[in-house]
Amino acid sequence: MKDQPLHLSDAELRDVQALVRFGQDYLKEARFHLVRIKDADAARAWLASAKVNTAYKGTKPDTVLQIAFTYPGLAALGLPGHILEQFSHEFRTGMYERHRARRLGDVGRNAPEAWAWGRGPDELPHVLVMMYARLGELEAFEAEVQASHWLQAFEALKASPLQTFDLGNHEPFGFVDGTSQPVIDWERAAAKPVGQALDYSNISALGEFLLGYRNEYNRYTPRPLLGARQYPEADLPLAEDEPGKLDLGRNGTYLVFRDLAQDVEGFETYTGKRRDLQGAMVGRIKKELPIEPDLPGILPNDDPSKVIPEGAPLVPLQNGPVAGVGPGMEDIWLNQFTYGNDLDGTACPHGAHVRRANPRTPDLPANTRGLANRFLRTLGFAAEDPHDDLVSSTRFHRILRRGREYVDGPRAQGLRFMCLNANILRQFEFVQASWLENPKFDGLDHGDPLLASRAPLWADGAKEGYGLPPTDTYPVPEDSGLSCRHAGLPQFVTLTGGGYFFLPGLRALRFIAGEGRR
Amino acid sequence: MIYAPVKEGHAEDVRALLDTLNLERAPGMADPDCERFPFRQFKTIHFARFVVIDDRTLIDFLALKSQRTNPIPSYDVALVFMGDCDGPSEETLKAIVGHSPAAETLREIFGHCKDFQSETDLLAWMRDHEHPPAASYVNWLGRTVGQVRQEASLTAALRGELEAFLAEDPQNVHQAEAAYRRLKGFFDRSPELQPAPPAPTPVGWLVANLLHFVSVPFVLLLPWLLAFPLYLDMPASLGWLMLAGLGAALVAFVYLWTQANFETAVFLISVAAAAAFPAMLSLMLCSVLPLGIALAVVAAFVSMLRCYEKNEPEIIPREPASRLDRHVAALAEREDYDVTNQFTVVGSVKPSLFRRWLAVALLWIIDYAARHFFTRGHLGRIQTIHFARWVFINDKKRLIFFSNYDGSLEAYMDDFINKVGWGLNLAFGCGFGYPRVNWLIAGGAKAEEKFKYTLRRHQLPSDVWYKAYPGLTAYDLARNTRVHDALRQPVLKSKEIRMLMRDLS
Ligand code: HEM
Repeated sequence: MKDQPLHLSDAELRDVQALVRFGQDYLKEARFHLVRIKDADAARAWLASAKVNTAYKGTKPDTVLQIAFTYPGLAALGLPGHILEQFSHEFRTGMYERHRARRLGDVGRNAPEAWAWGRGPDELPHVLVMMYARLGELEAFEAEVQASHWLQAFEALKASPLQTFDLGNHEPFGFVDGTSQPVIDWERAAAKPVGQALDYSNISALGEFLLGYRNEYNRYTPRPLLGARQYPEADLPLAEDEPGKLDLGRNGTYLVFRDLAQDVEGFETYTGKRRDLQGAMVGRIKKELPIEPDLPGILPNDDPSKVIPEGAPLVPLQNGPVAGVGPGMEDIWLNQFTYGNDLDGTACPHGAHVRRANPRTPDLPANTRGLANRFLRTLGFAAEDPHDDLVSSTRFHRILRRGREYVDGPRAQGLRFMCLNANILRQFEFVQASWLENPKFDGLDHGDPLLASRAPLWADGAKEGYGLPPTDTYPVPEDSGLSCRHAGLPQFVTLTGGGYFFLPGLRALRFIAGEGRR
Repeated sequence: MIYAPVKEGHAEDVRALLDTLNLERAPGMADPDCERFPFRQFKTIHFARFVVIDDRTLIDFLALKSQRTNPIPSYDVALVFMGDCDGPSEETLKAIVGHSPAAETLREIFGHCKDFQSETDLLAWMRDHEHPPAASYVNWLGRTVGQVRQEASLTAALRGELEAFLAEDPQNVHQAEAAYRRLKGFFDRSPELQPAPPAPTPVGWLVANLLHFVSVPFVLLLPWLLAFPLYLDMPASLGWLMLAGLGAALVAFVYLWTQANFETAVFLISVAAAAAFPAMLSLMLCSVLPLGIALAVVAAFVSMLRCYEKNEPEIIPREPASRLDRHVAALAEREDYDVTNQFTVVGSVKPSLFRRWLAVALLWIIDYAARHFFTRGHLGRIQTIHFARWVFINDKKRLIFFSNYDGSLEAYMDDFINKVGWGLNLAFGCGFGYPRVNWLIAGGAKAEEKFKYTLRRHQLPSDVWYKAYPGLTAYDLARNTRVHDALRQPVLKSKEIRMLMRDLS
């Protein structure tokens, strides 16, 4: 649309749920309610009156309320079939689906059958109500939110509410959390055409995280669109790509929820509390280290602290800037790097959690320079290293993490992992299945050291007679080319519940609540 | 590939029968030790599959205006049996026919096909139904199943030895040279780990392959040879120009050779020379005629192509979600048991003679490129495909594509779009229902969602799929070959030792 300002107006921002823009870290208390609808009329009435916070940047609110729905939830609220079927296949068929579970590594101890919630369409909540408040104020806020219609409308799942606990920006294994996030391009510059992004950038097209806008392919992700004539009363925006249609997806996104129990004791025992090994598994430094004098890369030499901050990467910082990182010094310390100068993994193992979850690869192999080189590399020649081109371009596989930790005693700790993305298959599932769970990521033989299921490469491998390597080994490459191999890695993280949700824009939320629908 | 129409109403029966060859725990995955068809015993087979070909998208032709009056095309449901094997496929077929339970099973399976009678000669029948591929890609030309398994065993044994070495002293992890000496000794002492030298490639094949390769550069360079008499009375300035051109070509050739491979260098230089020829000829004759003719031919082709590209409708009908979900579930049920997956898609060629012949020509080019340039571990930038094949059926009106790739389907699609979108457009741009392609290589796959939707919709669940080396990816095979080659060297430089250690870690 030429005559439309590209950057998101305040009016649009007031239509986006707050979670898309803010993590609400200053609100130290949070609880997630998983409810099923008892009485659809009452539920719609409650939804219509809910005061949902938005992404508009005003004064910081003291409490935040956010609402998301599962597919059965939208059906229970009476959305008609012709709308429901336009939601994505993954959302409709659910995280618990058997074949999806196999792909995501939700097998064995992680299998849906053992989950506390979300095992199937009937054990899935209809609505996820997220409430955040300042310390000590959550209970009062909950009472206020639940004052009218709530009891009549909803029935809580047994597992609900999901508690959270603020570990002061750390997760239970002791690492700083929330260090690296994609930067959303609210200004909406056009994404680079496929194959043209020769440098990793931390900036993601708005359409990667909100439906209704152009994504990294410069296209619109499919989402529910309704005939404008069929719903004359509906207060919904027109679709940018199909102006005759109302866009129910616009300003909404999908929310992936995974309840991950962390075996902290097991992790500390296995690693013998060695922070270097733990750091090598995660790919970030666990505690403050004094600067090594010969550390290459940029050293902000006027930096007063002269200490590598906790959570810093294992690879040296890059000399030039990384788009979307900075200008704050802290962000530069933590995120101005790629793995392009560590192809052999001696600084940060290829298999480390953050290297897998965000390999920071551009569209062509790292260090592609010059026309001839670019031409040959486009054809697959002129490799610098066998690892050169094994990993996809990262920009199509970013997620915005919004999880919170929980601690229910020493043996019940973990991460209520949440992430936002416009395309569950291409973003969350790709990261989880192809990068974290897949033992063959980047030519390796093992999955993510923290998260993967340790399922064997082939279930009947022993019959083959050529000795398939076990997937529960974690090699840490040394300069010699050899690796310290850490064998017999137990499974440190277990999935105990999860589901795919739709986090609608506010106008869409009112439509779901019945406004303009009849 | 053996392709045969199935008897009316027998599709479900043959599917049920094929299912009995599979592992119980993994639908669609062949049981390698299945008594009725022990795939593992046929030692030349890398991959094999049975697929019932039933194109659910033919109905899309309804959307074509000109087709409103004509019925939509209809084809018999057919059965495909295909394999990727070492040596001529004839040998493998003979081995199968010579194994009586397997032959019996095949007879039972093909008994569901239209023209198969109980007294039919199985081998002759299969030969009759063989469809040669229009293009095929082999990840590593000449690497046999035996070599793959042997090299995998070698790598595993070396890893075991290396582990023992590392366990002896924590400092050993810094001793790459010592580790190498240890491994080299181990290797030299273990003849059972050293693969028997591979059977020599038949000379006939080598010669044929060489001729096949030089045919194209030869044709491209032929005009220069034919124009030889003209050079004799060419003005000196043109002579210098030609010399300069030759010099530049030589430099480019050497550069390309070091960065890619010999064949690629020859080919690219030939293309450049062929393109330069009309210009040179025009200069020599002081006439714009040759250049004019060349440009006119190119312009005619381009305008025709653009006319088709612009005017053909893009037909990508959206299916009702419930139907699509069922289809996707049927495909997903058969994916992601091993590190490698199978992929079969069927589609129609766009309904015009121009498209049909263009498809034939483009696939010939792809075949040529795959056979001569992409023979060592990568097809364009994709390193995850073991084997791929394009086969025309039904009088070149339809095309089947088969591949065996590592990782999840989504990762494969991602590679397609982001790494070799241009190549995919070349290969599939003539396909009915493929997203619109411009200039043969632009657009198309870059319409990410449409592309994925189209391919998924055209994909067929594979009824039986066999892989001779489960658990190993194409990258693993390449690495194992590297390891093996390194150990066969009498000495290694320290850089090479380091690479060897990385490969074994
Ligand atoms: C209990 C499970 C998990 C633990 C303990 C964990 C821990 C961490 C830590 C310590 C970091 C580095 C700090 C940061 O950037 O925030 C990190 C980063 C990250 N994690 Fe996880 N994580 C877990 C699960 C997951 C899952 C399930 C996913 C995705 C499917 C994921 C994706 C990411 C991503 C994308 C990053 C950022 C990497 C970067 O941009 O450099 N994590 N995680």
